[in-house]
Amino acid sequence: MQRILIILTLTLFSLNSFSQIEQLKKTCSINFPSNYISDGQEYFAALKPDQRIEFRTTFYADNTYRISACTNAKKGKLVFTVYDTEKNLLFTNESFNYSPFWDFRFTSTVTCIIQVDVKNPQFIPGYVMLLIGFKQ
Amino acid sequence: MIETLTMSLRLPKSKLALVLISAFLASCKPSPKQDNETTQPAADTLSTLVKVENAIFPIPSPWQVVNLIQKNNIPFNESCINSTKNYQRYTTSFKQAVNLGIYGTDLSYLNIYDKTQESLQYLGVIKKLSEQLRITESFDEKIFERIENNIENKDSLIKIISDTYASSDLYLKKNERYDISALVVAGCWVESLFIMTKIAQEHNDREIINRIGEQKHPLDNLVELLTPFYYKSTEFANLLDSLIDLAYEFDGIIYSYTYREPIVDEANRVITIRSQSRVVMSEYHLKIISKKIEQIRSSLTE
Repeated sequence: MQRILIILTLTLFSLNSFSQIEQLKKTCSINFPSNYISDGQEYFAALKPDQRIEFRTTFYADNTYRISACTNAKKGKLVFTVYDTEKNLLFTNESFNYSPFWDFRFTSTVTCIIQVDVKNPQFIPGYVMLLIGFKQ
Repeated sequence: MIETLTMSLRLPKSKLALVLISAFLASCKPSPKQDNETTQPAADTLSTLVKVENAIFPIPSPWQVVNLIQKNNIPFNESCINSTKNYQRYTTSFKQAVNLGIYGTDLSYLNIYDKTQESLQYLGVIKKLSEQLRITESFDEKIFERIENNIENKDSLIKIISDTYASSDLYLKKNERYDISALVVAGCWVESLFIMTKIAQEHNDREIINRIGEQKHPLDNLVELLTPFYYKSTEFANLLDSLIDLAYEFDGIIYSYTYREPIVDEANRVITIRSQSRVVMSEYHLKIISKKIEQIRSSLTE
């Protein structure tokens, strides 16, 4: 009986996580119109108050990319910040009213580090998701 | 374990240590999740800036390679793609997953040359592999109908293919099948580099050669992505060993980077990144990278 309850609890927990991620995908996709081509990967991770997520990715020359970021963490604003590999700050949505998306036009190929965290140490943990796509 | 360790000892210490430490950490965890709380090896130039607690390693889209080929008007070359006849050889989930990625890149390559009949054959193989891998939620009948209906519309097809692969990636990650997800990404990347090297050698196209040189960081990311599965099987260990070996060749390419302040267009929510990078790749490096990626690709498709 105890084993059944544990399995049931774990199943319900997984289903809850699944639906949270699905919902997050829908939210993020609102700012990801059909003329942007996904890179074929989905980036999401659980985020707690003392953590941040880091992505390191390469953006190719003569392309425009959209980054769309979203979270279901409560009581906090999602911040995404883009650096080059020499630590130069290229962009932060904190300077633009925490915009959930932004377009990046690259004149040359640049490898960037994207950091994602939530502004407020007291926020309620949740998932964060990032969609990256190039403009067709 | 001993066999795998012996293979790894061929590697120089720094990268061997990375593989072993990561594999050890992975073996201590209940599942090979990327969203762990252990400190991951930080991005080399940012190590003093942040303490990395969750690191994710994106690989640039293989569909962009196809766009570049299309832009440069390079003629179709059938030897660039994996024959659909080979798919019956893929009986392990390792081979099925990696070739799902390879065939996905091939399908987008065929798409730019209006190869409708061939595209349908590749689509059929992708469908079978997705069934064998139990990813039918993403590759369902409706998706195949959509693809078939748009088979002659290049722009729509590339969008549907990339969305379908993204959706299957999400499905695999939700179900904690991170190893399969990583292999599909690896297959996409290996095939796109293979196609680029074939084209570069035949047409000496400078833009394609530069794009090959720019694969250094994506390859590093791919190595990071696969490292937690190093001890999962000999197939994984062999693939990772060969990718690390390939990564050393990229170390010989000369890169330069100059930061320039970006320009922000706030009204349109666009930023123009004006920093400039340059890749200098010798003929030697092009040849050796071409040879090694061909060997890796052969080991995955045969």
